Amino acid sequence: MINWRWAVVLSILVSATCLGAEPNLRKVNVDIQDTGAQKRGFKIYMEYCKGCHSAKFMRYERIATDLSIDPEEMRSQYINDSSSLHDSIRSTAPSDSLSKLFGAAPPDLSLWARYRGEDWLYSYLTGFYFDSERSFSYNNKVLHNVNMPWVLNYQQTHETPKIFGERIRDLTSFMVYMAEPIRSYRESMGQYVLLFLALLLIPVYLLKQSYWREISQ
Amino acid sequence: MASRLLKGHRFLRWVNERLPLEKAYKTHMSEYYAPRNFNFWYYFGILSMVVLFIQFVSGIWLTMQYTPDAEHAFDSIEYIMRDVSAGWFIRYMHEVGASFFFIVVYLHIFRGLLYGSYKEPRELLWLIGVAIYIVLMMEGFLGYMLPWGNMSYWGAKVVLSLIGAIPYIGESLQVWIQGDYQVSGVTLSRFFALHVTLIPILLIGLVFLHIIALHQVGSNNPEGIEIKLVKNKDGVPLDGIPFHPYYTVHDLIPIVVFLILFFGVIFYYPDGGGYFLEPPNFLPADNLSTPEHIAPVWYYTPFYAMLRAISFDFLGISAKFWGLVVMSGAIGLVAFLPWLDRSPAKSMRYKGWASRIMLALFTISFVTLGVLGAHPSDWMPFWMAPFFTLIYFAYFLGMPFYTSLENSKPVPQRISSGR
Amino acid sequence: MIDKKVNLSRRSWLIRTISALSTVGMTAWITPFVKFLAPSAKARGLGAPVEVDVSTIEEGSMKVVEWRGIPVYIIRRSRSDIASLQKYEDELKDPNSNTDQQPDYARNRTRSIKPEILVVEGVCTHLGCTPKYRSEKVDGLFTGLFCPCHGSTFDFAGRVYSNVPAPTNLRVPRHRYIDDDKLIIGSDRLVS
Repeated sequence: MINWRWAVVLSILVSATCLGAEPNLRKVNVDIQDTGAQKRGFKIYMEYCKGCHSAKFMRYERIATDLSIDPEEMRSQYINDSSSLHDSIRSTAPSDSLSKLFGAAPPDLSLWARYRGEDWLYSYLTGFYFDSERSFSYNNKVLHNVNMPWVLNYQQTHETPKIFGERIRDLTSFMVYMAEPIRSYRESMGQYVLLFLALLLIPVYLLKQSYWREISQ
Repeated sequence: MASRLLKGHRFLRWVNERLPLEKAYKTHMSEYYAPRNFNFWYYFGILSMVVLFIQFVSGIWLTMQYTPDAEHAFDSIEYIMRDVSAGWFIRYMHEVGASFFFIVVYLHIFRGLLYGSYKEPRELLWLIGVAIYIVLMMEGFLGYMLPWGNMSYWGAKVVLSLIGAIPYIGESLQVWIQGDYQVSGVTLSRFFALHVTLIPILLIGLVFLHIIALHQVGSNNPEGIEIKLVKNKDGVPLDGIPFHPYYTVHDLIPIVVFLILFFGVIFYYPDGGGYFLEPPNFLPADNLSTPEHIAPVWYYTPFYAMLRAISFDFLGISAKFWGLVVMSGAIGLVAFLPWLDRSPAKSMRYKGWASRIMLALFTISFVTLGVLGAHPSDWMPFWMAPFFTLIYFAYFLGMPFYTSLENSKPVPQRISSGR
Repeated sequence: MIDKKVNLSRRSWLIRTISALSTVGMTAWITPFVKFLAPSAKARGLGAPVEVDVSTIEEGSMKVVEWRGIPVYIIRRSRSDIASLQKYEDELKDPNSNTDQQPDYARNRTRSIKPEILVVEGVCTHLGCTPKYRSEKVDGLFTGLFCPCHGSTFDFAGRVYSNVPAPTNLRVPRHRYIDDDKLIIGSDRLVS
């Protein structure tokens, strides 16, 4: 007899292989446990991104706790506006004036890493280049005819590609963290849950065997 | 066991005189005789009950912090994910639970096709099951809109504009259902109301009827043998075993395995590789910008592919409407299975080769349509979707012919030792 | 069909093990549902300590500050108000603040850190109405804090009089001064 189980498993496998990844993106492989990188990325975000991009779902207090930044240090070293610890990241410039300037309102970046993916972010942020054909004089490999200013122009043109790449990796790490602050906790929690359930499976299996032994085959 | 318990407990005895505790326990547990040869495919009924319970509880909790209004819906989901203690866990449970519900239900339905569980005397049981499936699809559709992400919005918009394809009344019906000229906050509020009240009540009621109907006619089994036909002098089916304790301890295994998979996804792949939580849904709803590629959540994609497969006007009626007809026909036909199947045997084990091949083709076409529906329409050659739609329909519409023409094996009276 | 040779003690051991493990598992599973109901980070942010400048409050007047959704009264008492605290002590239910309605540093006659400034929650201990402040300037009427709902009366230190419905003195929230004029309500520790 045909084993129907395998027919289903096989068709699922076949369909799964059809789902390819997006091409032409540079892999970044962010380490979600690396709070050092996230902290450096947070600093970059506050200095270069926050001017235009809010992150309205991310509270400073949460960042301080998760990235083990002392509240006092958070106030003095990171928060550069009148926000309190309980506030979330607000952009410095009002978004309507920015949208007049650049043709589009700068999006809120809280969830951007989950919308675009870490590889997209990394490729986009390292993907700026000079383009004499555009009135802006620069362009982006991932997002053609980009509206956003080339904010890290100086860093990209003056630093070695390796150092600049590390810098963007840090920023990407932070944005990945920001898109789901709970992620590293959830993954560490998961192993206990799965271990517990695997343990539970043993007596459950033995109990079934114990009862089913009564039924003669 | 129940009577032993009742003897000891004065309170339980008091209740039992006023509520049929012992009777219910006997009818549904200790003296409900199930065939002794259930296999892998018989796990998914109980598992769908487990998911229903998880969805029910986590859903109640989510309503406490969710705001069903266009201004705040998206933010309130992120609020639950970040600010509410353990909110992420409850939300992921509900979200992953939705997908697992459909996985389990699809496998449960497949079991029915495989072993002919829809055939006499289980027609009504099957019809209730189809009703559960339809109600579940509605529940999933309404629920998918609630996060008010861009995919929620455009997904709802695309499906609702299908209603507009119904001739004459379509457009006004669509506006009436939306409560606005476009999908808007008004639509969101009423969808929320339906998602958390009416549809769950229907769902739970139907599930209750499904179980009652099952226990009335008795369970089918992989052999498709009616165990009630051969009983001992006490009226106990010779091939039956009491549901409790044998199947209760038996079902604990799949439940724990299921929980391992379920929590594995929650803790490690909560967005299901972009299929359970689609990336465009991390942008708030924007009525001026459609996501680059709209695909419904995976559990609707087979039907979505069928809808897209119809691209020609026919009899002066638009392709859009025929798409709707094909799609609802694909779901509706499932209800007619008990009367389409003319085979004397229930189980594939005794049916002929035609039935087996058709079921295999049907399964392949359903999965393929699902994959096609999740991708842009130019992703694969155009003929594929109509071709597999035809196979899907051929399985149902050809059934009266191939089941009566093929040679099936005689079904024995007793379940042999092999399981 | 039923084979009777079964190890029953092993079976009951298994049942007990599974029950114990399931209880642990269910408890762990229910925990997030319980935590879900506690105040969220947003609510905790809104319930954070409030800073008040007390220098602008005139003698014999009151400032109301919202903290955790309740009014907190900050009253600057005059010398005579403070003197009056001693006068009617035998008419009070709990003149020495024995009931735990204040932090230890407010368990004194004035129920305050600084004698002239009273910080109390404006919530009547009877059924939660907001008592009205009546300074001595109003003639003929009761002076102190008067609850309009059921007529409970409190003196200038928020201490309840006998023979009124309110059972205890008004609550004094945790507070501290960061300098002479700046008061933090909701916290008495150095790091908020």
